[in-house]
Amino acid sequence: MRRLIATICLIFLCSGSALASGFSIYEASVRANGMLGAFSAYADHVSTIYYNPAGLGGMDGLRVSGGATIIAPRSTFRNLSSLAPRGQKTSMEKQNFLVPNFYGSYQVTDKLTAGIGVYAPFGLGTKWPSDWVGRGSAIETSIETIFVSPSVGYQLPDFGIGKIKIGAGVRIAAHGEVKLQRAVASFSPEGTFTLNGELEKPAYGYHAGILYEPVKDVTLGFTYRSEVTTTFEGDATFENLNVGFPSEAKGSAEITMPSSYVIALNVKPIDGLSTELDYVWWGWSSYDELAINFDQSIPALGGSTIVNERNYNNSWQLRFGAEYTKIGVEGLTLRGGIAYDENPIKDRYVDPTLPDSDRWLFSGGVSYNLTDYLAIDAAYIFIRANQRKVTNTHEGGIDGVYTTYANLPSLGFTLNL
Amino acid sequence: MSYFKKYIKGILSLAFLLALVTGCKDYNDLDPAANNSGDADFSSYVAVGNSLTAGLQNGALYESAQKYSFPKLLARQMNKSESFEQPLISNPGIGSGGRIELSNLDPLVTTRNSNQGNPINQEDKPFSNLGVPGAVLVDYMNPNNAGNLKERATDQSNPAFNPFYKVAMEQAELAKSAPNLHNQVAKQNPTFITFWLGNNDVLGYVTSGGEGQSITPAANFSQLYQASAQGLAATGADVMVYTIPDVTNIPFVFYLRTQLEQQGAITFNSSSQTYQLVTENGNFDIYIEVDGNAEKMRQDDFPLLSAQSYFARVQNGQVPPPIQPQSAIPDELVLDGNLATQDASDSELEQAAAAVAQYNGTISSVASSNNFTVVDINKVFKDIFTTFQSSQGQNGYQTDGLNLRPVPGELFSFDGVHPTNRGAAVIANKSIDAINSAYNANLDKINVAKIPEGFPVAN
Repeated sequence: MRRLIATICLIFLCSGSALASGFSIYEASVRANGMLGAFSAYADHVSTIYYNPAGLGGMDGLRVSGGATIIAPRSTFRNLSSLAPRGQKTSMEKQNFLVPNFYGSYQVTDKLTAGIGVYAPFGLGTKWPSDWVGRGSAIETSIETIFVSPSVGYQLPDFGIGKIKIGAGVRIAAHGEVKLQRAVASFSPEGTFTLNGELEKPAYGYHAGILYEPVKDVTLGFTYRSEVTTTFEGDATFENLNVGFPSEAKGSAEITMPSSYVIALNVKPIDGLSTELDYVWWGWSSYDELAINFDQSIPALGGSTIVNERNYNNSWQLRFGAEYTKIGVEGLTLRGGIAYDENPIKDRYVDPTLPDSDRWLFSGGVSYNLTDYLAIDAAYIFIRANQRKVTNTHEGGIDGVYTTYANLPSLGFTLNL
Repeated sequence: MSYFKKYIKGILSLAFLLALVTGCKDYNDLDPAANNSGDADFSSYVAVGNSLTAGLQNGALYESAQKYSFPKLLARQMNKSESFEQPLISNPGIGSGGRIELSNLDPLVTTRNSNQGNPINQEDKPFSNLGVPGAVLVDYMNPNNAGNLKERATDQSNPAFNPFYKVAMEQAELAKSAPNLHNQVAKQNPTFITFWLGNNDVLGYVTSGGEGQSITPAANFSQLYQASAQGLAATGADVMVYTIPDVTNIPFVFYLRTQLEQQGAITFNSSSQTYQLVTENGNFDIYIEVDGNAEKMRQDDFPLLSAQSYFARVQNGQVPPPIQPQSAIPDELVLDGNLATQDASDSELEQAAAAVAQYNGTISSVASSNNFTVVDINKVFKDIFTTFQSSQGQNGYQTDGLNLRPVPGELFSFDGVHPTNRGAAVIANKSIDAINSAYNANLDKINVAKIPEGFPVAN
C-alpha cells in the first residue's frame, strides 16, 4: 500500500488544476463526475470516501478505483481599466490539468469497512501572457494539493427506524505546491515577483458523514469536511528589481482550505434508476486574505509582508445527477447531471489569479463492466461560467470582463473483488 | 413506467432548457465603446501644451511615462487611446541632465542617467499629443516667427535650442519661415482640443531663480493668448484650456526648505525672522545672493530643488556654509521674496506670482468669451498645497484610498515640477470632471490607485 501511494503521489506531482468555484475541485471520482458530484447519498462506490465516508459502512469485499480528470479551462479578459484600450481582449494561456484520484476499501467485518482515498480537492492554475494588461495583478498562479484520507465506515445495528451508516476519516494535506507570479509596475523598468512554495509540513483535517435510509430506495446523506490550514514555504525571487528589493528571499503563506458540508437526497424511483440532489455548502469566508511573509524586511514593501485581500463569501452548489442501469445493454450504465455553482468571490475582489464566476455544469457518463469485477468509467463535464463584468475592483484587481468555460473529460476504472 | 418516462422527460427538458439559456448566451455583447461623450465629439482629440501635456517626468521625456501622460489617460477614457499618437522616446528618454532615477529606496537616493533615448514612432506624425517640453505660449501661433520657434527648433547652435520641437512636429512645418503648433493642430481637423500653454512663460524664470529666461509680460501674454484662442476657435473644435499653477505650489520651489527644516539642517528663528543654518557651534543666519548683494534668508525666500546638491556640498564641507555675506547661496538657486526690501518689483517670487495671477485672469476671460471650458489646475494645486501645509505635511490629495502629497515621489516626480503617473491621472480626472459638466458627458473617472507609480530605477 505504501508503495502504491508513493506511485500515485508521483503522478499527482504533475497535476495542477482550476475550476469549481473558489479553488475547490469536486471532480474526485469519474463515476461521481457523470452525476456531477451528486454522490453523497449514492454510496455505492468506493469513492464515497470523498463524498461521504459513511458509505463505506457495509461496503463488501475489496474495492479499488482510480481515474483521472482532465480540466481544460479557457478564459478571456476584456479590459475596462485605464491601463489599456477599453475592450482590449486577452486570452488566458491554454493549460490542461490532470487531476487523478485513487481509492481502496476493505471490508474488515460485516458492518465495518476501512478505506483510503487520495485525491486533489483544491487547486487552481491560471497563466496570462507576461505582457498583458493585468500583469500587475497576476501572470501565473497555481495551487496544487494532494490529500490522503484514511477513513472508516460502519453500518449501525438495525434499530427498526431504517438503515443508518456512519463514517469518518482523517484528511491529510500530504503534498502541495503554490506558484504566484506577477509584474511589479511600481518601478520602471518593470520587474517580476515570483514565489515558488511547497507545503511546509502535512496539514490535518477530518471528515465525517452519515447515511440514513428511512424507507427502501430513499437515502439521506450528510457529510462534513473540516478546514485544513496549510502553510506553504519557498523561494521568492525579484527579477529585474534592482532598487528596493533583495535579490531573493524566503517567503511563506498560509492558505486555509475551507470547510464544507453536503446535504444529499437519493431516490430510486424505479428499478435501475437512481436520482440524487445534493446541496453543497462551502465555508470560503475563511479565506479573507493571502498574506506572504518574507524572512526579511523589503524596503519597497515598507515591511516584510504583502497582504492580498480576498474576503471570500461562503458559497453553495446545487448538484443533480441520475444513473440508469437498465439501458438494455448488458453491463452498461448511463449517467447524467446538472449543477449550479455559486462563486464565493465578491465583485470587488475578483482578479485574474482566479477569474471566478457563477456557473452551470452539465455532465454525462458511462460505465461498462468488462468482467464481473472490472468496469471502466468515463465521464464528461462541460462548464459554462457566466460572463462576469467587474469594475471598482480592489487594489490588486483589474477592471474588465471575464468569460470562462471548461471541458473536463475523465476516465477511470473500478475493481470490485 | 409512464411515471418514469415523465420523470426522465422532465429532467431532459430542464437540462435542455438550461443548456439553451446558459450555453447559447451571446458572449460578445459587451460594448466597451459606449457613447458617453454627451455634447462633445471626441472623434479627433488633439492635445497642445508643454512638458505637462507631453508627459515629461523626472527631468526627461520617456516612453514609460508618456504612456501615462494626462492626455493619453484622457484619450483612454474617451475610448480613443489607439488613435491618440504621441511622439514616443525610448527609455531613459531625452532631458537635459538626464533622467532622475532611484538608486536607493531607504534612504531615498536619486541619480541622473546620462544615457539618452531615441524617438520611436516618428512615422506617426502629425501627433495627437502636441505637448512640446519647453514650449511657450508664442509657439502656438508664432506670428512672423516672433518667438523664434524656427531657430529654437532647428538651430543646434542656438543657446535656446530645444530638441523636442523636431520630435513632436513635422519636418514640413519646421521648414516654413514661421512654423507654429497651430498648423499641426488644424491639419488634424480636431473635434476636441486641450490647450495648456503659458507655464513656461513664467517657469523658466522661476527654475533659474530669476536668472534665466525672463517672464513674458502680462500684456504680451494676453495678446498671444487671444491670438491663440482665435486660432483654436477657427478649428471648430470644442476647446478646453488649463490655468497656470502658482509657482509656490510646486515642490521645486517649496520642498527643499521644508525638507531641510525637517532634517534639522536649517531652522526658522522667529525673533530675527530669518532662516538659520544649524551647526555644531550654534545657529547662524543664512545669506542668499540677490542681484549681486547678500541678504538674509527670510520666510519668502525659497532655496530651489536645484540647490539640493549645493546643500549636500555644504554639509560635506566642500562649499563654505552660507553664513557669511561672501559665501551666500548663489542667486540662481534661490527664488527670493520681498520681505527684505518691501519692494515687490525687487522680488522674484512676487513677480512670478503676479505674472501667474495675470495670466490666469487672461485665460479665464478669453475662455469665457470664446466659450472654452476651463480646467482650473491652479486652484486644484493650490487646494492640495493648502491641505499639505495645514496638516504639517501629512495630507495631500485624497483619492481612491490614496493620500498623494504634493511632494516628489507622490503627486510630483523627482524633478519637483512634473506630475507622476498618478499625478497625471489626477489631472486627467479633473479634466473629466470639467468635460462631464461642460458637455453633459459621462466619461468614467480613472481609479488613480490602479495607475502604477512607475518610478524610474537606476540599473
